[in-house]
Amino acid sequence: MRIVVALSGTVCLALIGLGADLARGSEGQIGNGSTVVFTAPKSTVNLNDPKVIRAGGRIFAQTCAYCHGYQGTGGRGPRLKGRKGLTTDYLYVTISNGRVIGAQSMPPWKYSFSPHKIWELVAYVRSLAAKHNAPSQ
Amino acid sequence: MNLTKSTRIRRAPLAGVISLSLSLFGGGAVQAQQNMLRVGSANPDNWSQYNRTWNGWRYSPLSQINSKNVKHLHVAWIQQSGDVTNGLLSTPLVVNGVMYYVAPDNNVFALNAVTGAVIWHYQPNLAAIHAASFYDHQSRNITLGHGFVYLGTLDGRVVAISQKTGKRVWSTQLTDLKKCYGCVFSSTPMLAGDVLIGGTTGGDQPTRGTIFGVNALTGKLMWKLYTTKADPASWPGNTWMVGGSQAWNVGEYDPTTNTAYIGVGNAAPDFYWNNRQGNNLYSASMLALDPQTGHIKWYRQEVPGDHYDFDSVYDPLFINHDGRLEMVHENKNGFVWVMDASGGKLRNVWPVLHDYNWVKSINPKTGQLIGQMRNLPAGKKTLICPYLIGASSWNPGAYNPQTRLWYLNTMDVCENAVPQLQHPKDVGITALYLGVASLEAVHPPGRPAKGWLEALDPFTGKVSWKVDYPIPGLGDVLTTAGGLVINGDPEGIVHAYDAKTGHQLWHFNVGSGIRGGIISYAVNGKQYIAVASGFGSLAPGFMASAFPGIEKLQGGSAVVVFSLD
Repeated sequence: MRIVVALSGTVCLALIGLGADLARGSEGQIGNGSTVVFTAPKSTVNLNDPKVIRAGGRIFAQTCAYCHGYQGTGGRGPRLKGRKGLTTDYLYVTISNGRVIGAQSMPPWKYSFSPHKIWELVAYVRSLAAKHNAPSQ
Repeated sequence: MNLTKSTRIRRAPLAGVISLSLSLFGGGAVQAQQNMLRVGSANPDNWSQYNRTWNGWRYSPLSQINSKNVKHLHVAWIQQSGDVTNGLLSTPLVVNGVMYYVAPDNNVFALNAVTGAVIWHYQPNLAAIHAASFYDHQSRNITLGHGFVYLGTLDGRVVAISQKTGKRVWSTQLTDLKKCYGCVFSSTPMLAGDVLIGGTTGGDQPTRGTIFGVNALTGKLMWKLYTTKADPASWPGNTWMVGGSQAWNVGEYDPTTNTAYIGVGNAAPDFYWNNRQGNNLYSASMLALDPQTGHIKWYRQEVPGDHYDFDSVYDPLFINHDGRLEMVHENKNGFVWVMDASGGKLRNVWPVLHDYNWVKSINPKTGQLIGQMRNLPAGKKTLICPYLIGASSWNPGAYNPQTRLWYLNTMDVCENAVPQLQHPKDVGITALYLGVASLEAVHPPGRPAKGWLEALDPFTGKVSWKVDYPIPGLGDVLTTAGGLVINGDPEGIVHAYDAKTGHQLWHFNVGSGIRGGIISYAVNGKQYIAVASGFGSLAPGFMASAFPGIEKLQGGSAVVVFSLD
């Protein structure tokens, strides 16, 4: 399903050769022309497969650890290791769109990674969240 | 290199008439005034350039606030920028009672420097693609000159804003974010006479480093200088096409020799060797440029064959020493190069840190790296000291001509890196080209990770005093003719120290950590100290595994100004 919220704006990043195929999930455009993923598409990977988790771990180390810390131990970005309440859909949507909370920001990764790679990242972050050494929230 | 008073006043951008009463100068008044007149803005009331003066000192000749009365400082006003994303990295500028600064997301303000009242607010209409950049939100500086406030934007432009009205006068698109992995101007180009000179982010991505020269009056692009060379001896194969080497920091312009100094960043990929055996010119180099043409007058490559992310972009100091003008330049890698400013001849190389392992030593007479760690094995963990944030962050220290000491935030942290082949085609607009499977900031072997502020002899590294911090200082340092050193820490505590002894004289919690500049200025004979408060940026995230306390720190973005009454 494709939901078009607004068509204003001049540049749709997904249309200029940067983006992945987002058509399988729920998505739309906002006022500045950016495409937004509203819900996750159907998973293309087995989220519990150790190979998938390792692949996600490599991407995480190259791109995410800079803010979320080594193995998700937290930094300027929130701690992911042992984190409760991260649903699969929330992870996919947040990684795709990025997020700004107060002074913290995460860029949208949908312009850099295919849905398959985002799913690998989701699998890795889920594996981090399942670890038990998180501090009390 | 000696400047006459008249030359200095004529050439200093926006320099005003010397109007300040000498009553604002302290005991070393004559010497301080002479030093001030030799270098940088002639008006001690103003802080019109990034480092106040072109020599990079971050030294205010004002002394109304001094070591005897600093304990009476209180807040005069606070200005909240509203947008706080990624914190406040910039240095406020003040000219003739008006403060100018850039907040997150390219929000530029002109404020009444006495009251904090907003005179105007400008934000460019940024192209939507800026949000895809890894380096979105953050700006180190604006540049003043020719009646303009210049802004390097987060969508690859340089914009000239009327200093008086806050309206855009011209805008020049210099980069295409679709083609340069989201490269943006995190620093506004420096002003070198009539030429704006600067570069962008992208050094950690598969880009080709580019420095731009732009006509400061019209916005017309004058020249480009590529910082990687299509030279198989230096960059085998096509490695030069993806070799990074961006000049992402501010730079300094010496009007006496008409020379623009700008440092070049690391070679990419940062840690994977990528068959780029060679010196990889001009990565990790300091360049001295002719502003009109971009011609390289001289250069010094500090790290040939860099694969540790050791940028050479930090702002140098220029100090008259034994009758010569010397450049003192810290590299990320924890060494300081002392060079003849007129030709780059090496005078000394000294280490900021006692312990490091990326090289065994550096010959202080030749600069030759001895025992350089090479070809980090792919797929295997290698400990590298110092780590990629550096022995210092990019934030400048400060030099005081009265004490002849250089005050510098320093840290001792290592990293475990597992290099891995990374194909540029797999690197998207937002992603990084570090060439790693794993990268973690760790404490050095046998000792805790730590940070400190220290007072150094800039030519030898001899330490006069040192103050430890639980989390390393990541802000710019201020020193004044009032015998003060003022430094902010990541927790938001602003500290004033005696410049001679390091004794703490005053402190105040501004509520969010210091990641940008601290300056001093005067209006109508009254001195102020302004602090850019607002923790953020990218570095603290990577530091957190070595300094877990970072996780709890709050962001923000505000200018907090202090005075005596």
